[in-house]
Amino acid sequence: MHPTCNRFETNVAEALVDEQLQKALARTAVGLPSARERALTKMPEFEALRDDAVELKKHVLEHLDFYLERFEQKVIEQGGKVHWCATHAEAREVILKICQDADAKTVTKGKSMIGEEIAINDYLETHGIEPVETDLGEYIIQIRKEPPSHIVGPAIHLNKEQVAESFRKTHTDLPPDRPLDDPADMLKEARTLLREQFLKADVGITGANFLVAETGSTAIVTNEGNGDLTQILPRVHIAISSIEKVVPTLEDANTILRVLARSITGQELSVYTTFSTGPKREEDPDGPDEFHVVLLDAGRSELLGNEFKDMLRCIRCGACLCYCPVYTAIGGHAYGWVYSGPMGAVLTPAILGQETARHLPNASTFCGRCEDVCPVRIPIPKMLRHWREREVEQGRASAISRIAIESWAFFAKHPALYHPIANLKYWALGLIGRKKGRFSTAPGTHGWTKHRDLPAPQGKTFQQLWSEKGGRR
Amino acid sequence: MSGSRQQILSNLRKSLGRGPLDEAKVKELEKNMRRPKNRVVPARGQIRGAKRKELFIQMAEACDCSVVQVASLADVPKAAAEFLRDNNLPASIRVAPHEDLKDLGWSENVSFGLAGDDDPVGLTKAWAGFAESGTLMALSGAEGPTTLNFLPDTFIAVLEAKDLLGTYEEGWKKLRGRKQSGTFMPRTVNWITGPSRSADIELTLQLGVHGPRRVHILLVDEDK
Repeated sequence: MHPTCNRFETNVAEALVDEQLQKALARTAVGLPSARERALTKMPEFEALRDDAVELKKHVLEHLDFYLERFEQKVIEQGGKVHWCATHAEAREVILKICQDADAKTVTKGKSMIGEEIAINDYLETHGIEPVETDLGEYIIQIRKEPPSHIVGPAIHLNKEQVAESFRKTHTDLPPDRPLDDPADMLKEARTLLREQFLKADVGITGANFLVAETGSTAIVTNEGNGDLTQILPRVHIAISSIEKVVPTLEDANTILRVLARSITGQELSVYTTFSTGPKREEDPDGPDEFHVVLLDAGRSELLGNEFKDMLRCIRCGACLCYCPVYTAIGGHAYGWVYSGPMGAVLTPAILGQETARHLPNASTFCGRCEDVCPVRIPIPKMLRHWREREVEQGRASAISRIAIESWAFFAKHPALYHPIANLKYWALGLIGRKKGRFSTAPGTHGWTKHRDLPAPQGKTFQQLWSEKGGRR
Repeated sequence: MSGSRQQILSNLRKSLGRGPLDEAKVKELEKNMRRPKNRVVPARGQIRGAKRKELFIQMAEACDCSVVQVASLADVPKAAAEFLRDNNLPASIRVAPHEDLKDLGWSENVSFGLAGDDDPVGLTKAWAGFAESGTLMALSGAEGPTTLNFLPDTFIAVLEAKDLLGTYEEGWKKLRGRKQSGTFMPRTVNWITGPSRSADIELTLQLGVHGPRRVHILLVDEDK
């Protein structure tokens, strides 16, 4: 897809007045975090598991070249092929070539953020091959020609009426007056249609939640079982993965699995955890004849050497999105590309370049919840600050924000000026807003007051209270 | 493309501020891979005997499986038929061609082999189960066609108490010890934790999206 990160400010303005989207976001902000929190009460070792996962990921990143080479060697030993791709374009070409060699007409797809990243569907379509997303959420957004709005729930921004409408528009062979009021009706319809696709597909493309160096296995976790039908029914299985997904051993995979689903849906494990190793063996009655792994770099090898290195620990659970006050106010599409929320605000500029995505790191209140809930403890706020520093250093920050921050900095460095002026301001605001306790409009705050009231200062300032209580300066 | 391989590897090394690892380090890492590190394993699954069985049943039911205990493998056909009848499900079963399942005295509407699109019920022998999460472990191979785990609407798994393990670690250990020519790893290892599900429409949980709507476990234990 063509990124719209450049229009971030417009995207946000539109998202904030989209009533339907706001309802969906409110549902997300409550539903998923409460499931996660319930699950954590049942796992006393959760913090220790997180520490273990951090240690594991750090170790892998320090020796990434070694583990990737071992992984490759094992895949080849099992009769599979590994394709190293430096860029999105290269990955697209490699996949197209495999599909063409297999004489593929249709390709089924399991959910893959790398697939979204390289926009493989559009590319295959342009070359006369029909890609069919099979994860229910991905299928819905594919027929609506939208990008995912959440890593785990790609169609989380929609309500059932919108899904029903899209089904009626797309599935024109079915009776137009059929009932589609209940999500169960839509599920049944999608299941039937997609089952046909699974059976006729020539190639199946899945992502990989991780790669196991020890055995040359790729692993996926899904709840629907679509990823499995995608890889066992067609003649060719392609697993696409970014390079940082490798873990040394099967035991190491346990550690990732124990924190992954728990962090987002609150499940012990997703329903299906599947390890795939090479093509089918002589004794296997089913499974693919060919097994390909596409390894994508697209800027990650460079990240390994700079201040964004820790981002490579990300296991794509999506927890930081659901806990983010910005994501839950504007949704995933406002971010303008595949990745959204706090992790997207760090990763997107790294992959697409700061020129394209410079606004995203500003979409944070620095409240720190993303880092608190991250199963691999990625210091997301710190990295967002690094992006902002770069923005200022490169002179890309807007004149208004530069002037505002520079003048604030001047006063902050001169407390003798800062305090009286601040006190006067709070006193005046408190006085004017005394009656209602809030302002529905105020000069220079339109962006805020359009959507909510600005609270009027009440009582004393922190500085005054600090002095009164004899706090040391 | 081998150009990209070299480029990616050399970029990684440049970022790590070093060249390829020296021989000693490679040997050390390889040795560590052969002896997987003891990581944090939740205490919950590290139990045995009756407690383990109790936890397995509790966890499996919590993820929407149903569990019935039978005393021996010979009881499996009857227990499976009862389950299907009680739930108003078609009585035709596609059974995995597993040594332990072949000669159990099945009724006529039972056939053996991989699953097709129109098989309503699949029945397999689970290779292991994990009490930690109520998970079943299945291996692909002549005795365990993978399609049986996914295509039929109803999935019945036979799990023997001797194959019921506590933690995932025990599963890998058992797999490593498998007598097998070549690699111990089969083409496909499936961990199955409940029936297929999705909450993609308005976060409403629904069962049976692409895989089975129902997962029924027949736990074979002479001390049932």
